[in-house]
Amino acid sequence: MTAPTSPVLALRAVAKSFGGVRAVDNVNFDIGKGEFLALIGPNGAGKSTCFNMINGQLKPDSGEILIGNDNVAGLAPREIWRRGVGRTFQVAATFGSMTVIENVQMALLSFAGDSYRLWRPVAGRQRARALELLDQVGMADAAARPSRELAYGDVKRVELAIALANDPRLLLMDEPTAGMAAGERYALIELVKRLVVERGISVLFTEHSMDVVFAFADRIIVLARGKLIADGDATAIRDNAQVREVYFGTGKTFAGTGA
Amino acid sequence: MTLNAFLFQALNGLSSASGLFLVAAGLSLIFGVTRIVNLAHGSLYMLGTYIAYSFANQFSGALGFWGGIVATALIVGAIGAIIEIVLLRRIYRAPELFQLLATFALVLVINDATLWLWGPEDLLGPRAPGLRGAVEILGRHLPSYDLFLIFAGPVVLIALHFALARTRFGRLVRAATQDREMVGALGVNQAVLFTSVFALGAALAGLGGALQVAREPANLAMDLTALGDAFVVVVVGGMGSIPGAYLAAVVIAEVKAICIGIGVVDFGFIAINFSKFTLVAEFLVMALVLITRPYGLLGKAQAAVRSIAEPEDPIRPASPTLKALAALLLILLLALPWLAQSSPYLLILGIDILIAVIFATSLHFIMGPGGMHSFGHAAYFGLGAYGAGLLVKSLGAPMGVALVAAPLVALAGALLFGWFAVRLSGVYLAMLTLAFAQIVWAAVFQWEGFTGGSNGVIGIWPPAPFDQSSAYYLLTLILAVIAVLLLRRFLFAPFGYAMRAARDSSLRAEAIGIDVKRVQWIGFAIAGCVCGVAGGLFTFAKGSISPEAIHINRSIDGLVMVLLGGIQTLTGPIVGASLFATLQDMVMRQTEYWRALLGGIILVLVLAFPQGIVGAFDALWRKVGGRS
Repeated sequence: MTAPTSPVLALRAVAKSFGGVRAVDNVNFDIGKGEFLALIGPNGAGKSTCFNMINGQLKPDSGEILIGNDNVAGLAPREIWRRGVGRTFQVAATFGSMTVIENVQMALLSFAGDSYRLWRPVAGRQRARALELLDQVGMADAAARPSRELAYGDVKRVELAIALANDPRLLLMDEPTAGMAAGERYALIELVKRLVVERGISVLFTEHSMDVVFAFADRIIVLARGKLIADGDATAIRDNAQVREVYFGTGKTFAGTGA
Repeated sequence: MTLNAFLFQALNGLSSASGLFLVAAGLSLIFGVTRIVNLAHGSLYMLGTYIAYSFANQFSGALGFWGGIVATALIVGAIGAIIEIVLLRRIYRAPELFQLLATFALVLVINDATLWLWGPEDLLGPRAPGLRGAVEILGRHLPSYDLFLIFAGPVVLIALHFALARTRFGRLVRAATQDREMVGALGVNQAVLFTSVFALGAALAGLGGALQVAREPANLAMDLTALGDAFVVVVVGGMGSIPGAYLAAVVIAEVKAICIGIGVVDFGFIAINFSKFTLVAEFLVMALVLITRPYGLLGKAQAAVRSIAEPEDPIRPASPTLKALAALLLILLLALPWLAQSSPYLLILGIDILIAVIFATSLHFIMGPGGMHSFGHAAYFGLGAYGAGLLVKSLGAPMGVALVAAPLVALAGALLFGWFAVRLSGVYLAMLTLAFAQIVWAAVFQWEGFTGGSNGVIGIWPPAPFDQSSAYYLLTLILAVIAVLLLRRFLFAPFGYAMRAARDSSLRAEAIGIDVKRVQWIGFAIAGCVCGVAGGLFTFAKGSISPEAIHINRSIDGLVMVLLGGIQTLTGPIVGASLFATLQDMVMRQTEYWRALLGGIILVLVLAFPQGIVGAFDALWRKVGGRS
C-alpha cells in the first residue's frame, strides 16, 4: 500500500451509532490524488453510513472527515459539493421534468452560482459546456430528450455528466453499476476510469459486484460490522483471511464470484 | 395576575383543550390510516353541535341531553362511514390533491345542508342537566360543566390508548398507520378497516362538537374554525400521534387561556391587551415547535409523499402558434371596453376573471413547478387587499401607492410564513399554509379597531379615471399580463429550473449545490408577492375588503382553478381561473345555496375524473389521436 503524501479525502477516527448499534466504528482511511478506491463489505457493514457521512447526509458522532485541509464532518451535502465532491446515487437520480442537457446545465449553473438568476432563460446558458460533458459520457445525441425517458444505463451516464459539472477532485459513487446488465456494467466503469484518469480525479465507490471491484480498483478497503478490517490492493484483499472469513465464513475464495 | 387567578385560567385552558383534542384526534387517526386529510372534519364537528342541540331541545331532561350527546357521536360516526363508502373509497388511488378537493367539496355541501336544516341563526343549547352549577375553586366559580370537560379529554385519550394498544382493531390501525400496503398485502380487509377508522374519527369529531353544545352557540362558521384549530393541534402534536394531539391541545389551550387571563398590561409607555393576542400566541407556539421539531412534539419524520401527478414534460418556450394566439387574445381583451359598451357587466366579470388569473397563476408557480401545495394562498391575497385598503383608509394614501404597497405587504407575510412552510412538505406543508391563512383571517377578524372586524374596510373606491370600469379593467388587464409574463419568465430562468430541480429530486438538487429550502422559500415569497397584486386590485374593484373575501374558500378556489386548468402546464392556471370565475359567477347568481352547488360540481368532477381532469383529457386525446 502506498501512503499518499497529501490525501484528497481522509477519515480520522470516524464513528456513528444508531441507537445501540455502532454502524461505523473508529474508521480511518485516505484517498490519494487520482486513486480509484473501492469500499466493500457484506450487507450491514456500514458502507452506506460511511458514504452518507462523507457526502453530508449524515453527521458523524465523532471523528474528522478531511477534504483537503477542511474538516467537513456535519456540513450539508451542498457545502461538501462546493468543496469539489461529485456524487452519483445507488438509484440514479436526475431531474425527470428536464431534458438531458438541461440536467447538466442546471448543475453547471449551480456551480457558476447562478441558481437564483431570474431573467435570462436557461436555454441560452452553459449549453456548450453541457454538450461537451454529455459528449464525454457518450450522451450528446440524447441531449434534447426528457431525462425520464432514458434507459437506466443511460441515466447513469447522465448522472455521471452531472457529477462532473463542478470539476470535482473527488467522485463518490454509491454502487455505480447496481441494476445494470453485465456488459453495460463494464462499459460504465471503463468510462468512469478513463474520465477520472484524464482529469486526475479520485474516486471512492461502493460495489457489490466483486469482478468489477477486482478488475478496476487501485486499492480496496473492507468494512465489516462498522470496522475497517482490511486495506490493500486486489491481491492482498483476495488473500486476506479475515476478509474471506466475513464474506464466506471460511475457506472459499473470491475466484469466480460475480455477484 | 395573582397565582390563584393564573391557576384558575390554567383550569379553563384544560377544559378547552378537551374539545380541541377530540377534533384533532379524529383528524390524526383518519390521516394515519387512510392518508386522507379530511378537510370536512370541522364540518363533522359542527354537525355534532347542531345535532346535539336538536336532541337536547326535542327530549328535555338529562336523558335528552346526555343521551343526545352519545347518540350524536353515533350519528356523526355513521355519517362518516357513509362518506367513506360512497365517496372516499372511490378516490383512494387518485392524486392527493383530488382527495383534498373532494373533502373540501363536502365542507361546502355540509355547510349548506346545515343552513337549510337549522337556519342561519346561532343556536345556544340548554345547560347540561346535573352540571348547571359551579364549583368554587381557588376562590372563583368554575362551571361544573367545564370541570367535567377537563376530565372528558383524558378519559377519551385513555380509552383510545387502550383500544389501540389492546384490541385487534387497534393493532390493525397501528399497523396500517406504519405501512398501509403491507397490511393490505397480509390480507386484511382494508375496506372494512378504512370505513371503521373513518367512522371512529367522525364519531370523535361529533362527540367533540356535541360536548360544546352547552358551552357555545352552534353557528355556521364553526366548521372552518374547528378545522383550522385541529390543523394547528395536529401539526404541533405530530401527525398520527394521539398522545401528541392531547399534549398539543393542552399547550395551545393553556397559552390562549393565559393570554386572556393576563388581559391588559400597562407597560407605562404602552398598554397591551393580551386577550387580543390569542391567535398570535397560537401562531408563536406553532412556530416555536416547528423550528425545534419539524414533525411536531411527538410526531415522526414523514414517509415519502406520493407525487400528485405523472412526471411532467420539459417546459418549452411558446410555439409561434401559441404566441400568435396569445397576441390575438390580448388585442381582443384590450378592445373589450369598446366591444362591450352595451353590456357593462362584462367588464366587471372581466376584472374578476383577471384578478382570479393573477391569483391562480401565482399559486400555480409554487404548486406546479415548486411542488409546494399551498392551501392558504388566500393569506397573501388578504395581506395585499388589507394592505391596500388600510393604507387608503388610515393614511389617506393614493391608489397608486396602495397598489404598490399591496404586493410588498404580501411579500413580507410570505417571507415570514414561507420560512416555516418550506421546512415541511406534502400534506404537512398544506396544513401549515392553511393554518397560516386562518391566522391572517382571524387576525383581521379579531383586530376590530384596526381592520374593522367583520365589517372590513369599506369605501375604498379608485379615483378618476379609474372609477370608470373600462379604465379599471384596462389597469387590471395590464397588471395581470405583467404578472403572468413575469412569472413565466422566472420559470424559464435558472431560478425556475432550480425550483423544479428541488421538486423533482431534492436529494440530487442538494448534491449539485442547490439550497433546496432557500430556493423554495424564495419561490414562496415570489408567489405571495404577486398574489398581493391580485388582493390590492380586488379591494379597489369591490370598493371594500372584508374577512369573508379572504376566507379559506378563496384558497380552495385557487386550488380548484389550478387543478381545473391542469397543474402541469404553464397556461393551465389561466384557463382554469377564467373557467372557474365564469362558472362561479353563473352559479352564484342562480341560487342561495351556491356553496352546495359548487361542492356538487367539484364532487362530480373528482368522481368522474379520478385521475385528474387533465389526465382524463390527455387520455382522451391519445385515444382520438390513435384512431384517426
